[in-house]
Amino acid sequence: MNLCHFDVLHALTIKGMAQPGALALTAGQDQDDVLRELDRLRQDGYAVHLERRGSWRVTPQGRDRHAELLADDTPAPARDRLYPAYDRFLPLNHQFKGLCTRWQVRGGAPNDHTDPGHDAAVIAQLGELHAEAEPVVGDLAGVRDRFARYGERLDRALGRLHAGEVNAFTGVLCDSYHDIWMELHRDLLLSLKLDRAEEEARQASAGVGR
Amino acid sequence: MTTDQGLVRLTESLGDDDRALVGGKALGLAALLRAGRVIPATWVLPVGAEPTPGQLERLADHAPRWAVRSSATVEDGPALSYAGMFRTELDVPAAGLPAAIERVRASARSSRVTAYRMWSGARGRGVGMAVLLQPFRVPAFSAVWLGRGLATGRLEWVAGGGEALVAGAVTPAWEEWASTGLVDGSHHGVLLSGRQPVGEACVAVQRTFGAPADLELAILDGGLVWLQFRPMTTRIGMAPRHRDAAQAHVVQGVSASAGQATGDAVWPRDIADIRWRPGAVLLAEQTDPDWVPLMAEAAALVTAAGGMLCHAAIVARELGIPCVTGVGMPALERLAAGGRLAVDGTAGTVSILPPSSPRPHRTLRPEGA
Repeated sequence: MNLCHFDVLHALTIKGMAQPGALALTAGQDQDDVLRELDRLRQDGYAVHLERRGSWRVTPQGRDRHAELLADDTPAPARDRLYPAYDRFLPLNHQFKGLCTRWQVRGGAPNDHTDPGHDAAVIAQLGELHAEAEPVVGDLAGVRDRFARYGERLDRALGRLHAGEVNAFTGVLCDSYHDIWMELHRDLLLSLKLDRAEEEARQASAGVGR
Repeated sequence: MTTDQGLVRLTESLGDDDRALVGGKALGLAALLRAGRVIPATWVLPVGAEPTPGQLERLADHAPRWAVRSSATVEDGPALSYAGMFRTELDVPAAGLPAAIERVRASARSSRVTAYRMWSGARGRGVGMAVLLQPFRVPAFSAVWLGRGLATGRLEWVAGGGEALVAGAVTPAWEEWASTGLVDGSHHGVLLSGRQPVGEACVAVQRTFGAPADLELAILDGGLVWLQFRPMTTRIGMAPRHRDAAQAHVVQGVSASAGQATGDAVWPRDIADIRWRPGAVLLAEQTDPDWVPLMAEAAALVTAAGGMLCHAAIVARELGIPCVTGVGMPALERLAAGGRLAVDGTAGTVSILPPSSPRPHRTLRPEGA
């Protein structure tokens, strides 16, 4: 399999619609290589170029092609090796979304980020969660290299947040911590061939739940 | 319900008419059962009833240790709260049940209760005391929920049994919940049942009954078990499962991102769907990252799945668009056929507007594929 072909189509499928720079980050490829690959995907009918937006979008044929390639890339034995880390990801995912909510909302109103104490406390909690997530992402990366890129991007987002970039926590379409985390979650669901309903059933059967 | 059967198993058939015989706590548990919630196996000794021969002995086959709780005819009603004033005995061996039942009944006549009734002006009515028997297990966590509004309240919890918590004898972990989800808390994390925050489960109970409520619950190794339900409403009534939701023009979901917006309903098959128009109300079963570009163009977002903490809620809040999550698939299908929608993200409602509503002129066109 052409790795660039898979990586770019995989990134495009996860993001749905995105600009080449953002796809290059997710795919871990040079932007020029990504553009060349996007053009090949377009010729094959797997992607369309939305010139006014400067964006690329996956087509239904592209999703089908991606499903074939992903099945080759992550066959059942690899999926079995991803599951233990995924099961550790799920509770972290829940904690993370709670943290996002605390970052966005205070006392029922939007957080206006004028209280450095509150923000610093939430960022510190994100730092703790990040430390817990690192070995989980590391284990995923041990099964498939692409998961290492999520770890690197999450590191960078946390760094930007520490440097005072408020958007880097829950910002939208700016490679924020939440943007990246949501992609990682999506990648896991696609790779494990799970849908959200199956995930909920899995969550319900784990831990103290029924 | 009569008294001549002695001890009876609590079922969902108990209603407000049975209050004089089984007391408020039993009614609350029956209402929870009707709403599909998990409660402990419960036997009721109605007011004035005595166990028939052999009944208590047979309970020993069910469990070795028991909780013996009061269910007074005046307790847990909407008007007065006698919370904590009547006796509860925990971890009672089966052989000790007769004596424990007597002590719980006697607490109806205690000086503390008499004083409270004098203070509250309730002394004209007598207190009848039914007794509830439940197998006793030490919980992993115990919690109380103090409902303030339909989606707001305070959860307090401790590891282990809840006696000290209810008595106010310990400083519990706490969480404040609002329509936007968890808004504040002590630094103990969020109490979970499985992977669901217990606070969300409490809000869901309130929404089921359409009223704020005080709740008591325990997390056992089998999951969340509800111990008490005291709604702040005039009657507990029947759970709303008999309501004909299919005809409703207002759909209730979870308030995930505040604000109001109106727009045409569009439920795109995928992000390339040519029916999508910027400024429309985006309907989605759930949202994955690939929906974010459409969310950024939407007037509001409504999802079938999810709660206050889902990715869609986080993205919607960030974008500043109203968002209602968790309306369910049947409601989403109804909304998709509804034409124009008014989304109130603050209230967590989506209304189907009549066709005559004014329609703003549109110049935006979809991106051609």
